[in-house]
Amino acid sequence: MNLGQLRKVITAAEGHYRSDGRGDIADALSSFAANLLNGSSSQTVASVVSRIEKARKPPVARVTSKGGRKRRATKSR
Amino acid sequence: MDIRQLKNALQRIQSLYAEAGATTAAKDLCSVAQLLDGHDEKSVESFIAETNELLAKAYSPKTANVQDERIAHHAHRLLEAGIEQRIFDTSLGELDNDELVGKPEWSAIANLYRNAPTNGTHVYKFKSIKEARAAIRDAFIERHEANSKRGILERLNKWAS
Repeated sequence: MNLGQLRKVITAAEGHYRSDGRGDIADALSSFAANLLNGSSSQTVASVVSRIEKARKPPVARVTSKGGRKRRATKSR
Repeated sequence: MDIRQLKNALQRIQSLYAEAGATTAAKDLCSVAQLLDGHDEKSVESFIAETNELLAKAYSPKTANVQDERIAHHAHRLLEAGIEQRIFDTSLGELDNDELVGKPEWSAIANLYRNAPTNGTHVYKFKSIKEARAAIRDAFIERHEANSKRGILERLNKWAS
């Protein structure tokens, strides 16, 4: 699913909430979509979510395992 | 309006799509709702402001410049070692221990290290940090061996003349 489609889904839900008298939820959905899901319509939702996740939770410092990277000795002559 | 209410609304939409069999849409709505996990008490406005600030910080050109400097620093240190094994190992050790160097930086450093002597522009692609590291190590070994051969030939020439 791309971002354009997701925005359409949210806009439709927003309309339903508004007609049910839940303007507060409709406004929150609208604000969320406009401010955080505001990339290009063709972007996938997964890529946008991943971008936000990365920004919110930067990768933990890499723990280098010495065993994982065995050093190759220089060839002796 | 707090995040909990927004999350409930998104989960409600998600369940409607799931019931209708629109699994892709339901799955995407679920992942969007999961972004809100752990922020139940925050207001929607503060969550949006905070996230936008973090996004700007994470993807700002300033961050990119810092990484460029880091790449240049490590590549310079490795090249500066020349064919001195001890200095090279120290520089490579520093690179190993730099927690802020990820796969893209390792690839860039390996490219700079391999291309520097010939001023080449070929872009080598590496599937992993391990591969980029091995490329740096192999290039060092090649340069070390080439220099040793040159030294032997020079000594032989001197002896023969």
